[in-house]
Amino acid sequence: MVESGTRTTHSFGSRCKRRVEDPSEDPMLYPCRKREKDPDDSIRSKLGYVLIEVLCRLPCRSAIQCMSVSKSWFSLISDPYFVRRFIHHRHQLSRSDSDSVPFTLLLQYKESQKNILVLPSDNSELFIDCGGGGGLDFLDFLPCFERARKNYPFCIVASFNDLLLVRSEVPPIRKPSFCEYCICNPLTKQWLTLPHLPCSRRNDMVGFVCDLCSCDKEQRCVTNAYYRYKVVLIHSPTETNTTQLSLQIFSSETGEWRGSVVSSQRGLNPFRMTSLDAGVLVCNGILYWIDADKYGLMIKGFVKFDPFNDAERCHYIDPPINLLPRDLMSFGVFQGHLRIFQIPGHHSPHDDGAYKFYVWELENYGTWCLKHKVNFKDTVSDHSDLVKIANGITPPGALLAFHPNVSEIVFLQLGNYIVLCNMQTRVLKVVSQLRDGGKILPGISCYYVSVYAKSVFLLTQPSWPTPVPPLPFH
Amino acid sequence: MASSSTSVVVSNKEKENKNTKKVTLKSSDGESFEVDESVAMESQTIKHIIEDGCANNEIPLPNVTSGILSRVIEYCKKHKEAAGESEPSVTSYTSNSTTNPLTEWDTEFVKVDQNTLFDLILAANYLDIKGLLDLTCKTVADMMKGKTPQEIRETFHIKNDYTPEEEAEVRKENQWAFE
Repeated sequence: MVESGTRTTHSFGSRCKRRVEDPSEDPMLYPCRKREKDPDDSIRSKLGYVLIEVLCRLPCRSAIQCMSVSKSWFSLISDPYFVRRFIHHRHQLSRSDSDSVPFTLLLQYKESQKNILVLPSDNSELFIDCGGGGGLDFLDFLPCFERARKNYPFCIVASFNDLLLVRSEVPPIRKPSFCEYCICNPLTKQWLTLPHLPCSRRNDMVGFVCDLCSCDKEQRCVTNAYYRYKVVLIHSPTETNTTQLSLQIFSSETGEWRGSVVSSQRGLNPFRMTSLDAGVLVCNGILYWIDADKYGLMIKGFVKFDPFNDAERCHYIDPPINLLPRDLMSFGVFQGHLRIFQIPGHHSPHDDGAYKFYVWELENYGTWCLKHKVNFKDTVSDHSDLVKIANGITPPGALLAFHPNVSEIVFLQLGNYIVLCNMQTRVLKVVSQLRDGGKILPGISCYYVSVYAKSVFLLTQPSWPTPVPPLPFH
Repeated sequence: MASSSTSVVVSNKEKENKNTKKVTLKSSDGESFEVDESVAMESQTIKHIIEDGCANNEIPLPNVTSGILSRVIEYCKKHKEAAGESEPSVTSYTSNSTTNPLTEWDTEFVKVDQNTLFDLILAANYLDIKGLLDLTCKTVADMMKGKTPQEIRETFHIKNDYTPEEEAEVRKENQWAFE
């Protein structure tokens, strides 16, 4: 059913019990009582479970290395209670400092050439070696990777926190043909494969969402040791103005794919380029995607679907303003809020030729709020190419992602550059340049690589790596 | 002028009276320590006992020896003084000396042998003194940081009960952490 590459037996030491049989032997309750000192482990015998308090103050990697100190240490650290305590402690620490969740921006483009660009934040521990060619080799621990080597379709389709969802296919020219989804953690190299599906000829979109177990509702702290997840395959409506959407959903709780039909109050249109290139977004456990007009050119609105809490129907969100032809709009997420990035096209002869961009945020009550407004002409940069592009005659940039920690920072693609833009100071900074097969592309050229939003993955790193598969959800 | 100086003298006297509320803590080996209530309340455990009105004359602490208790009291006194008249001192320990003026004092405080350090951890945990727990646990964690598992075993006299195969398997399953 579901195969996985993980530890299946815990043969070292017994599962850590929370309470010893005889409370008077518990060092936590009676620390000064003279007891049989374990001559082989002074610290463990002295501190008992309070050793957890010491270990959870180590960096994550060090704490995991400590598993190999002795079998009783292994029991302590591999117990989900330890992970919860570790995460909780980090959570409390981060409340006093400013939030700086480590993250990695991963761009996948020109899939046939398997180009990957990785941009880790300064405090990121995820090191992805793309090799000189900038490829998907960092996924070679996956069993399905052999298909990539054969040049069968193989790509990353979604991400959630520090997990990736990868799709590979054995195409119909080969028998048997099938499509396979695989969830993996690129840091710990744990993986699991979902049951096969037939290759689909329709335009599908995929969403991947996890529901993490709350360990402390008051402090809004979640533990990723226990979670359930769903992979949602959204089939394109076959006709315009459809009010029924056909989905296939894999649920970790059932371990199977199930077909489902979901109703929509608004008519939905078949997926075309605009929707397909943008892909599915996850915000607060809810999936969002774009609904375009029947020609697939202009965005009409956003479809919203909650697979965990409201799986019978989907809802519709109107954009902040009506789009006109030649307006560009893409969406992203910032700290649990849906955001729209809009570059209005030039519509009237009074336009001064400058391009502006607007960032709108969806507030809790369903209204859009204009958060940032930047005129490209006002941007500053010490890189002359950026200045040229910003003042150019074509829309200068496209949204890649919103910075996960700072509201006013956004990642844009300008030319073949990856640029960081501070919307308050208007400063543009080059952070990277696109390559093709290892060769750096010229920043300004007549050919710009398209990096589609569906292939931009913002991996955020929790204080403890998310296990694949998760522990059984109780 | 004269009236204002009189009122200053009066309010000082009031402050004195407030501060003299004391509480007695009794260690496991029968020694009694009289401390200001405000200092004792650095311990959440003791704070709850006092607030619940269960502290008559003495609060017995059967889990803490006199040697450790006197050190704990020293810590609480020092930190309470540094925090001033306000509510319980800095809630979390930080080694950042710009935010924690007692960094140097704290560093000296934990320069003790391993056993005493462990006893302090247990006492801080039992008495629920967050700053002391943070300080002592972080000190032991720092002794482990950057060390290989074998070095950790040597530092803390821990016997390796893995066979080489078992140990290799643990490392293999968590390879990423060992790189």
